[in-house]
Amino acid sequence: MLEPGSLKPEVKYRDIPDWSSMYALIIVAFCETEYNVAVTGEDLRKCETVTDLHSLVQSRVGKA
Amino acid sequence: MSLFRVKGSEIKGVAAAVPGTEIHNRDYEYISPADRELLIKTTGIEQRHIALNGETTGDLCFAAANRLIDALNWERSEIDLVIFVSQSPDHFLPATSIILQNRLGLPKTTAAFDIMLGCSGYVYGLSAAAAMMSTGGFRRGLLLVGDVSSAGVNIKDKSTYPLFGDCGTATALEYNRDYEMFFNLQSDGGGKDSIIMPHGGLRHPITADSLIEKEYEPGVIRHQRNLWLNGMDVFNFSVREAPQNATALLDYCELSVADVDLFVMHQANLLMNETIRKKLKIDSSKVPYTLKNYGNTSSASIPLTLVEHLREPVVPNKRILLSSFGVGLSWGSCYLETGNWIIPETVKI
Repeated sequence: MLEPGSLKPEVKYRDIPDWSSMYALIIVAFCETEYNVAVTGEDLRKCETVTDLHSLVQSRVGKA
Repeated sequence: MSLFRVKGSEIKGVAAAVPGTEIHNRDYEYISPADRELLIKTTGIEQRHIALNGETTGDLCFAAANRLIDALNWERSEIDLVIFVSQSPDHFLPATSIILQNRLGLPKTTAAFDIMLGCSGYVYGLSAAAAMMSTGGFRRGLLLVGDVSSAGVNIKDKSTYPLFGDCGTATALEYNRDYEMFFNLQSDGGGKDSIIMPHGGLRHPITADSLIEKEYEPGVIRHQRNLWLNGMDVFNFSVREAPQNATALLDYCELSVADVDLFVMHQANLLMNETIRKKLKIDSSKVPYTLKNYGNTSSASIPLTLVEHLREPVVPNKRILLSSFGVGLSWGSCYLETGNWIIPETVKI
């Protein structure tokens, strides 16, 4: 498990111990409810780091 | 757009039946204890009722229908329509509805047929039943909706096995000239592979190879006669389409979200359902769940949730929005108002 506050932008989130596909769904749900941004499985496969994910969501905010 | 109103039939009661065997997700040995807790927290599913003793969907719907007919004090000779909706019928043929016409002791003047739909099936089935009843050519009808999904999932597939529970339901309908229901039905076969049982139909008949298990990712072991579920695709589809569909129906009815007293969704999983609820901005007090004790009961989830949530005496004129979505891909919504519905307690067989 990740300690709160220890998730850095350069972290490759799939490398986090205990990462599972359930967390991918939780991220997608979060992006939908917080930003009204749809993130697909294909999108997630193209992202490696937290920064990649942040950039993806930022590029789509307000364009739904 | 498949937006339409049906005037001329009303619901008189709803009943549900589940197998007596409860399976708890905290006992699911194929994933770690930490993953079990994450699974329960994310899906909202703690336990499910599973047909371990060979109960079929027909058996469950039979039990629900018997209970409802008795509770309504209906004469069986007055029932002349049976529609059975399921993706897990008792046989490839004949249709389960016809077998149930006989088992329930209904007259041979009964029209009976099956509709093969899953998660979206209750709303579709209700639209078909209501439309037929509204002609005035039928006195009393039964809409029997359910699934034994446990028969199709592989216990070694963590992406499906812990989610599904088994349930059969019965909804009683009568002709009523003044009662209205509103529907919005949609489909997209382009998403057929998102939820699929690949082998067993004519496209891929069962061969010895069909039953060879393969590990597709850690914790996901299944064969071609099992249910395959692409959770991410289904999630994207559901949270995109279900709110749009429901909103379009409310617009058609000239209502707003705030006018709805009860929003009953297909019970897929808590993460997905809550995302849909939040996108629609519906207060959580108006959104009942049966995920915790019953899991995802496929086509039965909406009527089961009505049975579990609406206790007698049911308050009339409550505004209900139903929303269903899933395998097909197929989705739809229904707007209706409660009447003096008879709702017996869920039967355990």
